[in-house]
Amino acid sequence: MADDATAQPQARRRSHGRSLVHRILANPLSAIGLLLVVLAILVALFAPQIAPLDPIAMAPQNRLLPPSSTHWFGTDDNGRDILSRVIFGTRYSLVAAFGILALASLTGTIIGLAAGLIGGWLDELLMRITDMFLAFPALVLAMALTAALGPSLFNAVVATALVWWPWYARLVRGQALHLKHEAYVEAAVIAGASRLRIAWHHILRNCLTPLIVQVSLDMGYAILTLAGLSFVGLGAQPPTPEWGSMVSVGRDYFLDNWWMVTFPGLAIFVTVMAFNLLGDGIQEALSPRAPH
Amino acid sequence: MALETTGNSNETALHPFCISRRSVLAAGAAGIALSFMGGRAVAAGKDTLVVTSGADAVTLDPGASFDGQSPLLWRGVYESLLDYKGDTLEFAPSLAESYEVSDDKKTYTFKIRKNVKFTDGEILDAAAVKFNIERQIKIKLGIAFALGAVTSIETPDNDTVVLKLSEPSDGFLSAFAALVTIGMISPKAIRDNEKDDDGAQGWLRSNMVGTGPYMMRSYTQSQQAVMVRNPDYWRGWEGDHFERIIVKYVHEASSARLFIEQGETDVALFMPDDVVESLDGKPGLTVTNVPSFDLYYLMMNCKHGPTADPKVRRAIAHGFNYDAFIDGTLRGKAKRARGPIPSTFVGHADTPVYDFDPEKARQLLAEAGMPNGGFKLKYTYESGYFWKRPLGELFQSNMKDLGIEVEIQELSPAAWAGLLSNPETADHCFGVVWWPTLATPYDYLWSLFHSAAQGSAGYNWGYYSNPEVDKLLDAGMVEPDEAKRFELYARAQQLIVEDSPALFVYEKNYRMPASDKLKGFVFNGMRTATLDFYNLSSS
Amino acid sequence: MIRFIGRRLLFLCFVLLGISVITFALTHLVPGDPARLMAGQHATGEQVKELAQRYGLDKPVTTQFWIYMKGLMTGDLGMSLTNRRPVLDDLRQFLPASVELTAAAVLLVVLIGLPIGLLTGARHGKALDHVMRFVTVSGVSMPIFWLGILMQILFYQHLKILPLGGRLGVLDIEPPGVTGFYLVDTLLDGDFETFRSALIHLILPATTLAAGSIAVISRMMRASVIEVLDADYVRTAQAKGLPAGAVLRFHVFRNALIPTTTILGLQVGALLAGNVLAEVVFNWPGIGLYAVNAIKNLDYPAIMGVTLAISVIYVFVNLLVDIAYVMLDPRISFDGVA
Repeated sequence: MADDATAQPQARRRSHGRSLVHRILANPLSAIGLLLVVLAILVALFAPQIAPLDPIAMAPQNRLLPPSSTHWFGTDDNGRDILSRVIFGTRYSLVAAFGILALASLTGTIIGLAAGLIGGWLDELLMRITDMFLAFPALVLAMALTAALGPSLFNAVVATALVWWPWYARLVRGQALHLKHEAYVEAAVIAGASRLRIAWHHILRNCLTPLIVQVSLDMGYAILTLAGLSFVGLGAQPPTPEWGSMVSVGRDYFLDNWWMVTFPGLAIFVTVMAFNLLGDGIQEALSPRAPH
Repeated sequence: MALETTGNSNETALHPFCISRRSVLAAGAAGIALSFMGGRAVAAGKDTLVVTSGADAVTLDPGASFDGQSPLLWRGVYESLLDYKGDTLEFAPSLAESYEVSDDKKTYTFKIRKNVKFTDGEILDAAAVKFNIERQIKIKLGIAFALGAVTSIETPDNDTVVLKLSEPSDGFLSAFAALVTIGMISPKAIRDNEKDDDGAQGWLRSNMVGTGPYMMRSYTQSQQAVMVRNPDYWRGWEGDHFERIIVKYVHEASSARLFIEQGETDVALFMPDDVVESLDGKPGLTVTNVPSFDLYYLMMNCKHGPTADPKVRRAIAHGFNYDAFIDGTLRGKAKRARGPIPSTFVGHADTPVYDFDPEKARQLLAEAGMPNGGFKLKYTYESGYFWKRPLGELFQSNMKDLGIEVEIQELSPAAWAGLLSNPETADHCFGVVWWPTLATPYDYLWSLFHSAAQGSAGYNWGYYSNPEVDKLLDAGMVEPDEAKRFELYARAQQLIVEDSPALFVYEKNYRMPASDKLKGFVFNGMRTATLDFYNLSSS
Repeated sequence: MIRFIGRRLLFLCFVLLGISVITFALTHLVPGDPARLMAGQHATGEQVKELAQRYGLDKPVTTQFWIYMKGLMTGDLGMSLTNRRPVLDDLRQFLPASVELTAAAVLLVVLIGLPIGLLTGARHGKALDHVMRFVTVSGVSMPIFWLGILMQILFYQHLKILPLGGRLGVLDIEPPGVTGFYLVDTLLDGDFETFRSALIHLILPATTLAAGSIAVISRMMRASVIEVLDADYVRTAQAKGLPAGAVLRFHVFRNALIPTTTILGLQVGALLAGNVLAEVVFNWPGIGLYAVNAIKNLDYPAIMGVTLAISVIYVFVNLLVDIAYVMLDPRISFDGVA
């Protein structure tokens, strides 16, 4: 019986897998999103090969040059090529954003599972703490955390993750509560399966879908948050070619040198939009009853 | 000075945000019937001076803080006993008509000016001066550190104040002429508003009662200050003077630059170097270019790591490309520093200079047992100091050529201070600019290089310690004979340069953008980032 | 209703306590030395100690926390280390600016987003679906700080019709502070020129702040309008011969407003957060900018004060939204909303 129960969701998932991409591609906007996301990932992976110049080396003789055939996006206040910096910036944004979501979802899942499955006073306590975090605008708390840890991209990632886990905890807990009472779970309990095994095999695997949806929807927001923190000076530090930080530095020069803020900002916009379109598409594909 | 704001659109070219009626409606104010009556017009003209400052004032109480931003406002309302003559280090009388110093430099006698009143009617007399000096000593902030040797304050008559010191204190007189000084506050105002024995600091934080040329009409923290003429000012108002001073706190460099470019404002203070340089040569503006007493150092840690070895430090001093920084980042508006004290300052001694010589640097490193470098250094700076990052980046680049890796770290100001003022956590290189409060070499040398100034007690955060230097400085402080004193300081400078605890990078020229219509501005190195409002006028 | 509000306020107290503990612990994690900074470069060791004593910075962390919490009971939020005055005074000065900005943004969202949603909801079509979805996603993907800067380049630099930033022009004098809202205070003072200036300075920041929310709200409104139009009671009204305009106004709008209200509430939260970025870009002297500076200076009391103030506002706004929710939909009682 237990084998049956595990086989079913797996089979369902495999058939999901094939039609998922198809369903995404069916919607033109989601298709564009997928395309752009793949493009972004490729740019990040092959940045050293694609970027024409060194993103970090200073070249003061070239400072503040407008876009031209040698520097498609112009140069910054230290003579660095902005195109190359934007390309390398893709790495930082994607990896850092993914880091946030991985950390947050991991922490949130563990806490959510514990709360949902164990219940009782632990559930009450954890949920009160979660409510507290949710009652508060995340950016300010993330800012305070980053300042406390010291401004750097890594700390910004950790800080944001620490502020975001409650959302995932809520999500997973909700699923756990719901699934706790499913027939096959109760059967497993009767059959004497350990708590951990139940958590892993039955609950978690079925949580995966909404989790994936949430993560894909949140990816764009994670990139935005990181860029925002760096813009304010609490995330990546110069000379790291992170997009938000580049816009921040460019702001001191932007009235005479529009290219310094325009291109990094455009990169943020396009990438975030790509992930949002994709996320929307994934959501539509995986939860057909989700509201438009 | 600044142009009038009216609703006329023919001024659009100069006033980007003074718009016509149609654009107001177009911009979305539809549905709101606005009456375009005159209202209260801001009559800017030849009688108002508008200044922008990129850094906020901390407090209006001249005795309660030691900072570089509040004095701009203090100088308009408060005065002290002495002043500096023009652009020299000679003293000029202010609230003290004359002064006398005993030969043993332990007794200072001031004759207080007669017929000077505070703006609340109180008379300025010897008792008032004594009251203020005592208040300053009690509060322990601001310039109080220079009054440590005072043992008694006597007032033999209404117009005489006699200060007795336990021992000579080099630079004592400059305490009464400095930027952060004992600004004379009305004793009545202090007594009336004192709370919990705080010397009225709470009230004086946002209220001013002084003897100076202007009075504070309104003040909003971090936004603006408006000062108007004090009609009873003892110097009188004959000749050309401003009726009103407006200080606007504009934290955005680009905005501040635009305002002064467009003629909306007359002087811009606390502006990043880059932005100042971009204003050079713009029509209607002048940017001052005179030497100042600001000296910029790159300190190294002398206690931990490879830089604890003077040979390594000397090598590094030869490895930094000073000219590249001065000509590149500073666009040539600075001079290479020649020692720990500015070459224009009193008591400057001729000391050897470490020229940029990478070959020599490598040789010295090899002698120190570190051929090809092979070690790591940390450079840290606080956010908000625009010159420190480029300095660090050039340092990093130059050191790389010697095989030394430099890690740059930006911190918030509080964290930066916390890190460096703690001898256990401080092992970094960092940039620091020093400007004098007292007109003596002791000011620079003690705070940065004396052993007693390590940690929280001073600013010697490179933790340099040379007992010989300490002895020389301590002796100089109490030496009554001027010639001997300068000899002691000269010797100290020599030793410091030999030990090379810091890179003496540059002496910066004072660059202040101002309208070319501004008259009467004279820069004095002891008075950076402030204006002598009374002596300014518009042509 | 009273019980509901009461329960929420109790929750607020709990939240504030928790947030105080967390923020306090966080800010004291860093071994900073604010007393050293405050005292200035030329200060001696004793001066630094003196300042540390004055501001209670030399006491152990737990004692400091206790003193702070006690002060909180009496409404004393401590002294700001950067501005050397009570944090309460700082908040009193900077808070109204943020509220004014957020209120203007919410107004824009309501005045622009709702009608767009209503109008586009009345029209169906796959093409319009895609357009609306694209608009929403663009609005949500746009970094606020980037949008703000682009607006500055367009409206300030090229078109020259709007100011670069700040609440007033360089030569404008602030109105006497009655409410702290310049639009109100200038009118109270009879100063129409400064009123005009304040209004003009509000346009760009409010629009930047509202852009993302307008996109979200219009789409949300459209979706609920579509749903409602499908509902039985609407079709009944149409069958009965009620004119289309009336149908839209009485039935559709009100019922479509319900789910939109919840999102509106969430958006206010987002606006509060977006405030920070918009304030930095437009140099708007509100608590967002204040928070950024406080955090950079490790100004503990200021950070605590701002954190608590924002939490209170956030919870209150959610409370108001929930009340509005219940009032709009008679089917929902206060017990259902939690």
